[in-house]
Amino acid sequence: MLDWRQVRRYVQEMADYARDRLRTHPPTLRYALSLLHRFSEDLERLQRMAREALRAGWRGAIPWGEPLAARFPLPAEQPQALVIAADGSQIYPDRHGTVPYFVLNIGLIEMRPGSGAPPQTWHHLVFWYREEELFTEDGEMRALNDLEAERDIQELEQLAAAMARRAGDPFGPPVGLADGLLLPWALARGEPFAAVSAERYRELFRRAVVALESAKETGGAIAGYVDRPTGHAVLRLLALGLLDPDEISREKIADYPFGQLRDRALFAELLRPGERSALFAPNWPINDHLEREGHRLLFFYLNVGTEGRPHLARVEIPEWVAQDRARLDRLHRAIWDQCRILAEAPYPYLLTRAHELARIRSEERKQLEGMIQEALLRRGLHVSISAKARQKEWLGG
Amino acid sequence: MATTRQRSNPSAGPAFIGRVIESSARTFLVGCRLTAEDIPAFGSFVQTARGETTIIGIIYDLVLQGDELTRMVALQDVPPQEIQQDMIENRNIPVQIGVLTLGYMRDRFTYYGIPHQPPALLEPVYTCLPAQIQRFTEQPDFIRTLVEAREASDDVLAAVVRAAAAVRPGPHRRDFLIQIGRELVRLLADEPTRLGQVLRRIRMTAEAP
Repeated sequence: MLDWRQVRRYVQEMADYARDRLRTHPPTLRYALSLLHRFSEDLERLQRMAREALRAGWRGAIPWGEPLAARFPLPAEQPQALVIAADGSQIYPDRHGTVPYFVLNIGLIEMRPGSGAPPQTWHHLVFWYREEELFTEDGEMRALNDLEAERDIQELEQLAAAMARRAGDPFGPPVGLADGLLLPWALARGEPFAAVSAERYRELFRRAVVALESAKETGGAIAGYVDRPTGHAVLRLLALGLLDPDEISREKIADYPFGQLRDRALFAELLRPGERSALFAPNWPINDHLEREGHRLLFFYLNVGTEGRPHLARVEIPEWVAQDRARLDRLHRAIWDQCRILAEAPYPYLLTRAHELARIRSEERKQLEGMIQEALLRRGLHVSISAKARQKEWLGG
Repeated sequence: MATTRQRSNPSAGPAFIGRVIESSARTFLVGCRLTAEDIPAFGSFVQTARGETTIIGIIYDLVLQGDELTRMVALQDVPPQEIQQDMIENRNIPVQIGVLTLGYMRDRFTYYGIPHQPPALLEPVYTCLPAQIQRFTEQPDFIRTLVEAREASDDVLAAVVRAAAAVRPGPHRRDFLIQIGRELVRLLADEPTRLGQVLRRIRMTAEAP
């Protein structure tokens, strides 16, 4: 339980801090916006500098070829669009529980806007309980990072598989939406920081490439939808643009002028409702490998809000979506239409529903635990939870 | 709210509906999440337990609780047809079911009226099988509780009679309805207008397809 006297003091301090931070933003934001326009056509210089800066440890966004301050209007309404969304949730193995197991529940939903037909929903369930599934070779239980990566890669695989089932559908090529990053976070972070073994990293990479290839062959578009993104990759590019190409160094790169400003604040100023930004490529180490496989990752910002109430999302796509304007426009329009369904909280309706389908409720967790205990008891196996878990049960969680 | 559900299947056992979330001597509330097609009808017989006692009741009220997603969709002037269908056919929406206790069964005996104790909270609630309904309604005494209950309208009373008649084969159904009619005449002797309305409703529901 919380000591509310202490909490109250911290909450007041936190609110003061947030107010002060907000006050310092406008000049910084105006400055960043002026740079976005100033460097808008400076693509070759920025691309050259970004390659150079990589060696000095710079992390940011590389322009893909569109002017930095470009605004792409909402494409015309699509006569037909088949949209599929996927999301996953899990029950991690509990070393205080009866027996260790890992449950992964992926919810998928498919909708044909304008058809009048109810969306189709289905689940993909993964249930791991064998030693070789839950433990590493040295007998340690798999790390949470590893299991999270499994959830992420299976989400991508299931989404791509659902799209593949709809290849050639008379309703048109499918648009597949994943919640959050398109690739598992472990992959995006790069091998040294992925917190999984090199072999596992390579396995995840292979699986991601196969899934993306399968999505590509459908003729449709696949994307990761990041709501309220916190990245500042474009701002880092603008900061880089301020440097003299001959003075790029770790020290100069560390001298970053935008503080806690985020890309989304910058593009909220630039983009009108429905408009998308230029395309950028994150310079994650994985992106070179993906490029070699034909799936270099790009992103753009999209204002899914309304006039006076901007709401920015970052949309991640493989390069082949960007190279085909029809695919890109279909995706752009589909996301906008999805966000209009819940206009008060602009977020793709199907991702909300996929999340709802994937979510494992606390009652369901309890029910599953009871079912496991009963099945074990019927086989004469006496099971018990740890003393710590029992105390938690007594205290109601 | 309980989330597990089984579609009604006469060849299987009783279908799980939900769990008791509020309980008193005469009524209890069942909380569950159901799609529109799985929501049981008014007047359906349900059962729950208190120890060795099986408590029998009927559904007299249903409250479909819209959640935040329902409310946000409703803010649209005309929600797309697909979304409306999704809400109705796919989503498990929270439902509260009001149940009026009619009696209980213990040691192979049937008792009408309130049990010694109400059902415990979170006790599972199931539909009744046709054989259980037939056995429980063998005597017309269950009607008294329905006639006197403030909670259940005469429409619910008629629906209950219809549900109990429906589990009986043709000739027995007619006998059962006559028996119930006589009981109603006895119970509502001082309320001829209401009696007429109730009998008309029963006739209408019994003749309905």
